[in-house]
Amino acid sequence: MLKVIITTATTVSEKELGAFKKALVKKYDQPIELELKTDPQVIGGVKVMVGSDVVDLTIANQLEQLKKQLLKQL
Amino acid sequence: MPTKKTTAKTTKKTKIPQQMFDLTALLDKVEFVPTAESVGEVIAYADGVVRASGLDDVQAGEIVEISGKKFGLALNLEENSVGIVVMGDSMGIKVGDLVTRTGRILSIGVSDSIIGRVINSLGQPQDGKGFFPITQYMPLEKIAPGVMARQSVSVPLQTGIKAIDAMIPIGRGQRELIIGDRSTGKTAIGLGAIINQHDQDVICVYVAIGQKRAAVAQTMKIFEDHGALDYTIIVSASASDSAAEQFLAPYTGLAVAEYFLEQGKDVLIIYDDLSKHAQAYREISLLLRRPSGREAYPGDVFYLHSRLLERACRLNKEHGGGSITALPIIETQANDVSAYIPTNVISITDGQIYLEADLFNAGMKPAINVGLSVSRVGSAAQVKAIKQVAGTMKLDLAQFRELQAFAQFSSDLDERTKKTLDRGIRVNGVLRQGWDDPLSMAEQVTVIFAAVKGLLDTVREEMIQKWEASYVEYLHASHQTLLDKITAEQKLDDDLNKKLQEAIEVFNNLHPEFMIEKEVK
Repeated sequence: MLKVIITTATTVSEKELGAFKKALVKKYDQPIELELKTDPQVIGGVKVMVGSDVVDLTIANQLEQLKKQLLKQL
Repeated sequence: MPTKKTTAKTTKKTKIPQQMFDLTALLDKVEFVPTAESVGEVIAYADGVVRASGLDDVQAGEIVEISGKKFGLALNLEENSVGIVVMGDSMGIKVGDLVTRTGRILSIGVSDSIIGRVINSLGQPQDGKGFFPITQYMPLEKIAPGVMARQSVSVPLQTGIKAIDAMIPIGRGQRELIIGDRSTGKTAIGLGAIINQHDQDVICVYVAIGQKRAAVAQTMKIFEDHGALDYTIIVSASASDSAAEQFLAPYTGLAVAEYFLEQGKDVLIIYDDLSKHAQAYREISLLLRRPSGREAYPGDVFYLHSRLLERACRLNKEHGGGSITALPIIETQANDVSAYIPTNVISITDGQIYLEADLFNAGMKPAINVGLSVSRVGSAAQVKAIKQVAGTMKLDLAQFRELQAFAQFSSDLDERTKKTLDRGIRVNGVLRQGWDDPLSMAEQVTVIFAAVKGLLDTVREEMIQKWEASYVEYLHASHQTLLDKITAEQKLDDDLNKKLQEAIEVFNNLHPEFMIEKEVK
């Protein structure tokens, strides 16, 4: 059983969740256990954690990237 | 509104240089990439060691970021967790903090402007002179140059210390251990060797491991006073730095040395000292719960030092022809060279300079035990002129030591024994030297020449040091051509021998105050 944690800023609808689960099962080809987390700190977007891998598509992460890259250019 | 905006923009542009603050241009360059990274979580922290879960694909020796602020080094990869040593300050680490991979193996930024600077194990400046530009990153861990890239030691590394250059010669690319009890002058030999490189075209790296910050500051002052900072880099991991930093310091120093090696330069690196380095590594290993062996050191403590010292080398022409000469220092306890770390390093290096507290207390400085010290490869690189004079010196000293013990029992000695003893005392006498008073090759040759040719036999024992100082001065004043000739030809021919002997005889006649008063017949 693959553990997947999904973090979002607001609650996700059942429909969206179902689509998510379907896509993940297809990608990893094994049953998954879904855990939902809501964290207003991520502002928007979604963070998916599969095992120890994280795909971070949140606004918070983009802002962080923006900060890093701007500082680098200065 | 649009007009107002443009005016604001133009005034801004005129006031501040464009490359400084054109935000739109900066924003254009920003790329958002969806990051897919392997992360973990801190599950435990104690004594500078973090245990983290997750981090499935982390590499051994990789740098990881802890909660986005602190860096750690992944050293132990286990089934369900990763052992990480935290570098630098470890305050504020919480259970549950995010640990992310960086994909980078430890490396430090270097450039030519690193010369004269004091850096820590992570390559950050410590001397308050600000950051230096970085042109290249050098890895801390690297496989030593292969067999085909090397050539044998053939160029001498002049330390300026008579006892070493004459009897235990060091070649460029050699690894020579300096070993002895506390306060026997180990560091002094290293510092003396660095100071003497001012005209030798050698870059020096001094690695201070586990030393007092005051001592490092003092060392820096010494280098400054002697103008040695123009070609020296200090890497400092002092006693108050974490064990991880002390463990990394020698590799950092070596990374700096290898940067100059790549340019085909000769580098001298001094590790002061590897005993503390081994202790720092022992601390880390025990905290990581690695099995311990003899003296509680981990099983790979030999490899710890062998992989470090194996990277000292002399490369052949096709590979730039540079060299790294390593002078590791080991501190023994009560003269015990058979302890674990001393035996390890003795077997790794190409010889050792053995310092003794008894000699030091007897006023013999440098307190080198010539009988126990060896250099296994340096003689191939020794200058011929020194070889010519030092050959007889070893014999004189060996005979002297043999008779010395014996002579203590009887005051009634035959003429020959007395002569050998007198000679021995004088040869021993010229080996005394202040550590910050290095002599050039030619000066050394002329001084040792005088001693082994018996031209010092008539000089009073207690006057030998004064005789030497005034003699070297005299040579520079009246016989500079002789010194120049020795420097140029690097050997003594019959003509030079004769001229030198004459010069010394003249000098002796000029200075009766140094001589034993002749008995009135």
